[in-house]
Amino acid sequence: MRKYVEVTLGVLTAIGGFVDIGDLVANAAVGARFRWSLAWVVVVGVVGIVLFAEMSGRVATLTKRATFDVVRERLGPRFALGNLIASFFVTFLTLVAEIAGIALALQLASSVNYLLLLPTCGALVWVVIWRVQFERMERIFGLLGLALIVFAVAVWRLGPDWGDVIHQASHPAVPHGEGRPTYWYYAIALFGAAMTPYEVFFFSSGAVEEKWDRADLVTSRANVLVGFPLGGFLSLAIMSGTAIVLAPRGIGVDHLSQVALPVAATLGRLGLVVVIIGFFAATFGAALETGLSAGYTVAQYFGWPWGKGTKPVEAARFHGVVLLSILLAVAVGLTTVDPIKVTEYSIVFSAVALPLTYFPILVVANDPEFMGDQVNSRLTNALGSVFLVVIVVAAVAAIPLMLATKAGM
Amino acid sequence: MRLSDLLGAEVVDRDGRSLGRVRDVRLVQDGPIQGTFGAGLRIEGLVVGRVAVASRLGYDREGVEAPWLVARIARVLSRDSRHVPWSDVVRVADRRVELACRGDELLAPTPLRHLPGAES
Repeated sequence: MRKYVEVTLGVLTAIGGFVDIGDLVANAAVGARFRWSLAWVVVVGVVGIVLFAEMSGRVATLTKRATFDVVRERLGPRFALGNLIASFFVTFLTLVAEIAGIALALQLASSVNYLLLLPTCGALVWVVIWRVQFERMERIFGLLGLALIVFAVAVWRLGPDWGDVIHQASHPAVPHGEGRPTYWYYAIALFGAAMTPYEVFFFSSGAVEEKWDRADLVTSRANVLVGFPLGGFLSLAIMSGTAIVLAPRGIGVDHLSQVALPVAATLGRLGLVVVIIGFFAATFGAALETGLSAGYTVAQYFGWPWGKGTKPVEAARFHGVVLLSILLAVAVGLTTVDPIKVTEYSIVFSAVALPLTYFPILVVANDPEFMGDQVNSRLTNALGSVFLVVIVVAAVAAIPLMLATKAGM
Repeated sequence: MRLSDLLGAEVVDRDGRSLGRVRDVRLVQDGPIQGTFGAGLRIEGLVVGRVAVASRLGYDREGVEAPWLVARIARVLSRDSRHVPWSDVVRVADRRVELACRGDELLAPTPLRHLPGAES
């Protein structure tokens, strides 16, 4: 019975923790502009993250080594340094976006300008990382993030013509007035949002932090195989909301409040309250994950002691990197950069950095010396190889498409 | 001598032609007992090649053949890698390893599992 509760809680946490500021912005923006013609990308992205998160969790559980540790060993210190710089940059950019996202969520609730709230949000994120026990931290924000289910409720209440929705989603076409490059640029952004590398840094480091062993592999698989697809379902609900409410009126998404609009329009004030709670939990949870991931990647590369489970005195450098990253992220946010733009850039750059993370995981998950009998199955390898090609193509195409479309203008 | 003196050192054959760099060093533990360490290590030979990535990724070892696509690329990249028996090494100095034999006399590295004395 306890095991059952554990698994259920884990799955719920994974659902709530799946969506972050990148998913919120990307899905809402895409829904408003392309309606359901890019819904397939969410499905592809979810399959990809399920595949590689499961692999990274399995590798971490059996080798007791998190992803960046493995990356460094397999790519060598010099190549992995380039990898570290790129991954850290992307994770940091995401951290900026998440902390700004918390402040924007609070702005929606309080009407206080988000710039005034940013320093407090940064401080809160650090305090939670410093004080709250790993598993509890995950649970609280993951479960609160389930508030985003309100998007699904709103879509159901809006009652679109489901036949039409399914037709649009299954017969993707570039909408009138949109160029092909813009379509593909947003496809890559959506893909990057679903597969952001910090998710596996965090997932694998979490497996080491929580001292998973073979017996926990079942829990890990359940979290990933059930939790992430249901998280993807929330993404699709967000997309559908803006596709129904904003797209026909020609409204784009350039503020977080517009993401909430479909819910506010159908479910009124109560709906808005729930959505704001969901935004807060999703961005706060992801800020914790990206803040920690900044520390994880650097500490694992240099071989420093790391983790919330390690005494702070011993893991001083790890905590130093986390604290510095949060301070810097707040500073960047305070320059009045547009948080939505930062989010969009962070997910596109995520797409560029994907192969750096996912390729070594795929290789190590096949190494019998590390994995014993738990090496990848044929199916996992076949899918993994297909995704490797997709990831490389997306990474190569991202920057040229960004320049060609002036970042999706 | 330290292992790091060898790893990455350039390897030239009798005619002064470069064969690439030392990618791996194969050791055999059959020396005299060294305190609590056990039997001492002896260098059996070097794995030499122009491209590092395949052995770095572990594809020069037996049983590492998946995923097919990656293994295939790794094999193509490392097709020029050779095994140098330690007895063919004449001199090691200044990050340079000189051999007594010619490059084309050397064989491709045997998978570790097939070496005499290897545990199966």
